[in-house]
Amino acid sequence: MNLTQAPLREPAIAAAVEVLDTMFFELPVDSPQPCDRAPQDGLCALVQFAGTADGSLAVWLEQPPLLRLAASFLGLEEGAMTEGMSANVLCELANMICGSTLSRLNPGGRIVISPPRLVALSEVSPAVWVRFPLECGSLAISLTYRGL
Amino acid sequence: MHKRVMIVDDSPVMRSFVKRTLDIAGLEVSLCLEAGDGSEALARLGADGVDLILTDINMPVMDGQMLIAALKSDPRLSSIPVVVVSTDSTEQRVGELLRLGASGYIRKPFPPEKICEALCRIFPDWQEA
Repeated sequence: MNLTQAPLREPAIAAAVEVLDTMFFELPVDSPQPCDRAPQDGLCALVQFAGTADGSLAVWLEQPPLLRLAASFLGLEEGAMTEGMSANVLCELANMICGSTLSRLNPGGRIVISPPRLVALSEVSPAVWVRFPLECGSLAISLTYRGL
Repeated sequence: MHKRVMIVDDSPVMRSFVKRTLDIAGLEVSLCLEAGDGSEALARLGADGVDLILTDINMPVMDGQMLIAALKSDPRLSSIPVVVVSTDSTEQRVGELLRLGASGYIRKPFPPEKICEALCRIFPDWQEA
């Protein structure tokens, strides 16, 4: 299954909005929209999971919102952010969206989430994305999920 | 009342976030130790005592579950309250960790008031007036 299916898309969207709101104090400025075109720039983090369900979740973020969200998360000015700090925050963002999505999809399950890592977009395939318009750019997520 | 706290998480930015959240929640900390996994935490605890440990579950080398088991089997460390802060919130996992001796469980994502609520249940007089 991927994000073309509503039973998967809706919990994933709810999880992403919860993480953005609670940990980054940011909400999408418009409704999230599915899109089948791969994002063109920015950074992408991938989290894989296995157990009573397996698959992966990717989070892609354009550079301006990445800097903004990372600074907000760490309580620092955007100018104080390093590439390493931004990348670590993106990985943590992916980890939390993944965990929050899985707890909605499979609350009684036993799933191990692997450490998030930065990847090239070509590693995320086949990719169906849901894009969240933010104040200064976009965030997108892609999920593949196989319930066992 | 100030507390000595250890934050165990393999993500340095998450450790920073938890530390900042304690501050935002008005929980005064006199010493904040950090460790990237369970074995590093145990090594540091040999030298410095703490009042509370906040730990993630999924970490390399020694995960949070192994850390709690090690702490609870060591008479010198078994009385330190351990609160789990993790994205892994499946019912089975939470139950296992509580049975193992964890004093609380905070699911990520969490707002500052959530961490305050969980920790003040353990230390009712901790929060600033």
